[in-house]
Amino acid sequence: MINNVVLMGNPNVGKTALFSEMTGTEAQASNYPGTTVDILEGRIEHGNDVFNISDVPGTYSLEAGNDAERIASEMLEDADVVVNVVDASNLERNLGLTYEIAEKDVPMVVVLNMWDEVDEGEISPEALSEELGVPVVTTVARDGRGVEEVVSVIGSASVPSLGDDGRWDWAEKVAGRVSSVGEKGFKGRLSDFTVRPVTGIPFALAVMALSFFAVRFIGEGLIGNVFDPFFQVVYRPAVTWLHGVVGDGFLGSVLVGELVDGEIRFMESMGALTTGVYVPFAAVLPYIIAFYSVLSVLEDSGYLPRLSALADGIFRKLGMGGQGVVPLFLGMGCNVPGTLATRNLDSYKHRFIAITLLAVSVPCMAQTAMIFGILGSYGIRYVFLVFIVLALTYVFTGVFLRLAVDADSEGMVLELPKLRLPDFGSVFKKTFIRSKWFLREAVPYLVLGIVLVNVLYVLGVMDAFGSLFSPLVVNIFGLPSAAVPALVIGFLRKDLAVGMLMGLGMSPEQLVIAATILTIYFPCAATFATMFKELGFKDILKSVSVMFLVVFLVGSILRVVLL
Amino acid sequence: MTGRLIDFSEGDSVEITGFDFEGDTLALLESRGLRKGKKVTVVARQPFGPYILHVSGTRLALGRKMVSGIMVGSYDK
Repeated sequence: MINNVVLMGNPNVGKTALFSEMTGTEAQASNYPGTTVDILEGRIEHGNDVFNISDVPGTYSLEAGNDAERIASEMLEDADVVVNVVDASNLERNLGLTYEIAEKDVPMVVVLNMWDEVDEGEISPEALSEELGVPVVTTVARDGRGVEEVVSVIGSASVPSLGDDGRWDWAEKVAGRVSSVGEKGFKGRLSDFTVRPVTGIPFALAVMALSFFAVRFIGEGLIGNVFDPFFQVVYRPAVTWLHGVVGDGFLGSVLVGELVDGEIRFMESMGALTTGVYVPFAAVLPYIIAFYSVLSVLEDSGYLPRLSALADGIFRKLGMGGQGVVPLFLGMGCNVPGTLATRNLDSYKHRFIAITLLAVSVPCMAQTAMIFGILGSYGIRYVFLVFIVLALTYVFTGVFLRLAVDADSEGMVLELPKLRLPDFGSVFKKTFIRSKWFLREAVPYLVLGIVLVNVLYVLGVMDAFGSLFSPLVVNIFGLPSAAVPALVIGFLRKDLAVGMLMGLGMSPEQLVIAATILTIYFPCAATFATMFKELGFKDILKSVSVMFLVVFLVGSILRVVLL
Repeated sequence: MTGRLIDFSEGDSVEITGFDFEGDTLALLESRGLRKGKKVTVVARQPFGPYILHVSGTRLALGRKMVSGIMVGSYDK
C-alpha cells in the first residue's frame, strides 16, 4: 500500500510547481535554484488511494553535504514511492540523482518536466522508460500539463535497473542514448549576451532601471486611478458618517482618529478604520502588486541567477557572494521571505551577513511605498537621498561584516537556468498569493498598531517614551521628540511608523533622517521573529548590535550633513 | 595545448583532464557536469567574478578559485 510519495529532483526542475498542481495548494515556484527551503506537504486522493505528498528541497546528491541533501536523504527513508522530477532539457546531470535514488531500491516514477522546452524528437520518453524500467511521464508542471498522468502512474512505480557503470558514466550513456538537447539558436545567444560583461552589465542596469520605473508606473497608476478614487468617493462618506455617530471620544479616536483641519485625512488621522485601512489598501497594496508583478517576471524568466553571476565579484566583497542577489530582491518586497531565501547561500557566515544587511538597510515595499508617500511631495531627490544613503550603508556594513566574520569562501557554483518567456498566468498567480499574504500579515498588525498608539497616548505611555528617548532623538538625530512614538511603533510595522511621521511639522531633511533611521535601527516584529529562528539567540544579539551601531553612525552623520 | 581553465579566454573550448580537488569539492563539481573528459566552453569571464562555462548543454557560473583548480587540454572538434 502506497502512503508516502516524495517528490525529489535537482534544484529548479519544477518540483514545487508539480507539487502545487498535484495537491491544489498555493506553493510558489520560481526559475532559480533553491526556491523551496522547507518540506512542503499535501494530500491527494486517487481512486481508493490516499497519497501523502512531500516536496523536498532540490538536491544534486544524496550524500549529505548540505541541509537540502540531508533532508532529501532522510525523506527517502520513509518514502513508498519517489517521483523523480527531471529537467527534460538537462537529462544527463539530472540522471546523476536518479542513479543515487535507484541505489536505495525505492520504487520510482520519472517525470520529464519542462517538456515544452524540448524540441520535437530531441528526447524519447519511451526509450528512457525502457532504459530505466520505470514509468516515464512528460509534464509542463507550471500550467498543469501531464500532472494527472503522474498521479495515475504512481501505483505502477518500480525500482530502476542500473548497469555496471558508475553513476556519471551511467548517466552520460543513458542520456546519450535517449536525447540530444541544449540551449541553442537565438535563446542560446541571448543567454550568452546576458552574462558577458561587455553586454551583460549594461543590460543588467537597463533591466533594473526598467523594473524601477515599471513598479512606479504600475503602483502610481493603481493608486491614482483605482484605489484613491475608491477611498475618496465611496469610503470617505462612510467613515465621515461613522465619525458623526461615535463623536470625538476615545472610541472615535480609536476608530476614526483625529480630524486635521476639520476633515478626515486618511494618512494622518490615525484611526483604525481610516489610516489603518487606507495605508495597507490604498498606499501600500498598489506598490506590492506592482513590485511582485515585476519580481515574478524576473524570477520566471531565469534572469536573477544571471544577475547573481554578474554581481558575484561585488557581493563577494560584501561577504556573501552573488547568491545574495536573490534574498536582496525578495527582501525589497518583504524582509521575511528575503531572510528565508538566505538558506541558499554558501555558508552560515554568508547567511549571517545577508540577513543582517537585509535588516539594516533594505526597506520592504510597504515601507518604500510610505517613503514615497511622505517625501515624494517635497521632490524625488529626497526619496533618492534615502535610498542612496541606505545603499551606501548596505555596502559599508557589508565590507565591515566580511572583515569582522572572515567570510571568504571557495566561490560561486551556480547553474544558470534556461531563459524563458514568463507565463503570465503564473506571474498573476504568484502576485495574487503574495499580495494576499501581505494583506493577511499587514492589516492585523496595522490595526493593532493604531489601537496601541491610541491606547498608549491615552495612558500617557507615549509621553513617557518621548521624555525618555528625547535626548537621543533630539540631540543625536536632530528630530523633534514627537518622532519618538513613530520609532516605537516601528518595532511593530515600519510602514505605519513612516506614516506617523507625517503631520509632525518636520522639514524634508528631518523626514529623510527619520525614514532612514527607521529602516536601520531594528526590523519589524515579523522579520525579527524570522531572524531569531534563522540565527538563534547569540547571533541575533550580534546582528542587533550591528544595527544599533550603524543607526548611531548613519543618523549622526546625516544630522551633521543635512541639518 | 594544456593548462588550467583559468588561463583560457572567452570562446575557448577545452576538455577537462584533471582536478586539484578531491572529496566534497570534486563531488560538487561532478554533480554540476564537470568531469574528466567533458568538453567545456568558456562563455564569459566576469571582472573579479566567476567564469561562465557551457558544459553538457547548460551554463554554469563557477568561481575563480574553482576554475583555477581545473586542468584542461585542447581537443579535436
